[in-house]
Amino acid sequence: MVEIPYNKIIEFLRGIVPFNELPQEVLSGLPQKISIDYFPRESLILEQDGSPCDYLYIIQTGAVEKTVRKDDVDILLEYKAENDFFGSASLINRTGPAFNVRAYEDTVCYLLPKETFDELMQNHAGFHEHFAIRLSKLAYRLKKARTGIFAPRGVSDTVVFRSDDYLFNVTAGDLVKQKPITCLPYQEASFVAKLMAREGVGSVVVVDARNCPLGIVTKSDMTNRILATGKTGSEPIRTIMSAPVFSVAPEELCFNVLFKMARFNCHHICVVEGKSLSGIISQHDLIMLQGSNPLAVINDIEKQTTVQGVALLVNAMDRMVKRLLSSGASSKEIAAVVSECNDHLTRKIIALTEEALREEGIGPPPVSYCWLALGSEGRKEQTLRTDQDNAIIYSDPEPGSDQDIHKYFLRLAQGVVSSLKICGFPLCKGGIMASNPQWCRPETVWRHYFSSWINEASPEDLRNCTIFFDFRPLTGDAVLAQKLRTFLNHNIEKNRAFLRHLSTNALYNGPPLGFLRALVVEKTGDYKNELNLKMSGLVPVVDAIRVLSLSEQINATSTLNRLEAITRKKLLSKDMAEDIKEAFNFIMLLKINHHIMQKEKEIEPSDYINPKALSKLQRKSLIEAFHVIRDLQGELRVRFPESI
Amino acid sequence: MLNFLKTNNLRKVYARHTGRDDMPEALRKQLEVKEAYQPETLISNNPFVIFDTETTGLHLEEGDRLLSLGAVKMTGGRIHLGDAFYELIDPKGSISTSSIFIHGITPDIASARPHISDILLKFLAYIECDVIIAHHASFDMKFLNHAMRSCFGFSIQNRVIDTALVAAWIQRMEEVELIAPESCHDTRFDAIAAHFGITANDRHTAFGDALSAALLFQRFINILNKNGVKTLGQLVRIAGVSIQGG
Repeated sequence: MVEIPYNKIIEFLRGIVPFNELPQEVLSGLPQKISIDYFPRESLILEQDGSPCDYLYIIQTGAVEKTVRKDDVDILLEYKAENDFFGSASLINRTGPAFNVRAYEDTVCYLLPKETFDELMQNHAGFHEHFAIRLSKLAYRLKKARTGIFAPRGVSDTVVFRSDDYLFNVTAGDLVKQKPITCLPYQEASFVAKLMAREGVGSVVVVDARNCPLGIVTKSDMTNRILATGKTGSEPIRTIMSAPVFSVAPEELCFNVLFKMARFNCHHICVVEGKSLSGIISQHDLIMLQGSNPLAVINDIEKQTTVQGVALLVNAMDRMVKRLLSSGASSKEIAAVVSECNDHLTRKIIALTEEALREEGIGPPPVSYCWLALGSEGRKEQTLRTDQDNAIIYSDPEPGSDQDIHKYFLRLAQGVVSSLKICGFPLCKGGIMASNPQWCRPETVWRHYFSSWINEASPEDLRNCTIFFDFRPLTGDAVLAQKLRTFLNHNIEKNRAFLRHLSTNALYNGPPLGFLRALVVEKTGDYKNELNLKMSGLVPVVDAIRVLSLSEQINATSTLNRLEAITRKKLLSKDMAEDIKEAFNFIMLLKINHHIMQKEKEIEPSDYINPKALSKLQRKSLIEAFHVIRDLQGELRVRFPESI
Repeated sequence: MLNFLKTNNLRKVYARHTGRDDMPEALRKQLEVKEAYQPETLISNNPFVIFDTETTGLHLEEGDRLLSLGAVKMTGGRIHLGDAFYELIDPKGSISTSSIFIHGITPDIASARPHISDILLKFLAYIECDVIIAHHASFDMKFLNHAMRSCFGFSIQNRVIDTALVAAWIQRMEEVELIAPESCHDTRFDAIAAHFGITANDRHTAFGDALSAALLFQRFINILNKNGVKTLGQLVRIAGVSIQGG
């Protein structure tokens, strides 16, 4: 028989990690082993705790969802789409699947039989390692799902992101926290034991005179190799150290570190520059890296005494966001953590600046004041460091003293704003910052601003409303902010016509939906074939929800909290509110993901995205989300007929 | 009884055509096909062979001949890539088998390709008594049976299903626009495949097209099932191709 032209299938396999690691002749032999199966949408492919898989399922077209059933609720683990696969854990462990796999779309899978899979695992190290790591990641997700960190399905925020893991983003150098504790090979065991106790470490690296690592001693080596064998403390350390040690360069990825640990079955890896030791990474460090610990970052912020010190922590914050994203956190959780960190950071900067003014002899704040966070910061919807939006409100001063008081707060604001800039928060291009004399004012002036915006409602006034009405007290006298909020609510109540203007303004941006579910993209310019996630997705939701919430004197500023309050007041149906929440969360996640990716490529973050670059599943979800937004705008239009 | 008469008839036709009475194994299998057909078998369990041919042109009458023959097998709705069939055919070699039996050599001995009759025998051995499926099957069957008759004196006995007929039936049932009107053979398949999101395999190799057709039929099984078409008999009624000539 003529050789069967399996080229397309081989090509397809070669495009999949880790099949790309296999030599050509092995790849060419695979198609003969493969069978192809088809699963209509919603059919169950693998059953949780069913019989062990006989195949590795490679998705050729379509998508599947993995869910874990716990207490009669399906918890969404993840989606797998084209070029991905499932069933490996069950294949490797010979246990029943730990989750249900269901076709999310009509799905065609290539089925690679167990025997072939086992053969590849045995004979190809790269292939084997990929699955070993995948397995540990999956175990982690499963554990999280079972302990309930993931929201139950249906209520859950749809995460459709392939978790791009810390393993591929953090380098070995990033992980090294402090100078390693070292000793020389001829030093006595008792000396090294004392060193460990004094430094509070569990391991010491044995180095030669040129600081080149020779071996490593851990506490358990001390017990197992000295005490348990009847040796004495005068034993030279080189006779009990574990050697050789394995090293990586600082620029190597954590993936390689983990890889080496797995391959050589060791607990520590040395980081060396040239041959000289610069740090040590333990398995524990890697495990810690996997979890995200905002508390640690906040604690670090609190400990700082200089602006420069605070600025150094900013990268740790970014890393944390990335980790949160890959661990499947919802945008609300991410935004909450980011806001919390940014709040702490800003408060710290304000405290440091106040202190500096005192030290300069200018003295403490002359009257009580409140630092206001505005815009996305006010709504607690900051995801990465976005432009500053802030203002100062202070108590009405005694007549005649305003000039000096204004001067003090302006000076404070200038100090804070420039320090925030050092920490990576760009200046607001529109000048909406407390350092702008216009936005550093006493209560009376603020009340005057607000009432004139509401009464006059010029386009510029309305623009200001969308930023200032989302204010939130950050530090100082929160009563000032509360009083302003009450004033605002009364004013709107007295002047309901304003809401129609604000509503018209909110309908200005709309979802880019064309005829028949198509996405409308830019036709020309720098962003040709792209669409603006923020302007066409997020802003319409934020604006619409703001109008509805102001119409009911709701004090919350975050869009999702406002949404909840609106729903309680029955302005929107529960189902619709749920859809809006999902849509908002999805677009937000897409935006965060997009920004992080751009940052990695060192491109200036933009909100433009090419829908063609999204996975099929993401694109589908995006279209769904835009439809929800269109419905929300429809509601708004009905409630507040357009003003002329 | 009728089947027995028919079988006997095939033997006679073969003997008359080739001047021999020792039928090769693969041909003898053809005598069992009618007996093996069980209309009550569930489509979802039944084995199928999905095939495609490439020809030198569209007109058998003007001398166009088979160029290649590709096929895959499906059982239980699963396509088995390892059990595939692919042969290239020397189009010049379509001469009567009787002469080959007499001379013992094919006329085109220089060609590395086996003679059409050998390929047909291989194909018959491959399909056994299974129902065979192709897109616009009557076209492929015309060329195949022409070759069959010139080599062995009779046509392929297996039941033939046309996926284009299945598609047309589904279109009527589900009122979906599957087939672009007034389009030719290829685009029709492409249009249907595109509708079902089937990513193109190597188009225009008999194997690639057979695989695409198999992927299509895989989806059809599910849709047919939803519309109450569950047995082989029902399938043959809506999409069977009648075989002309003995």
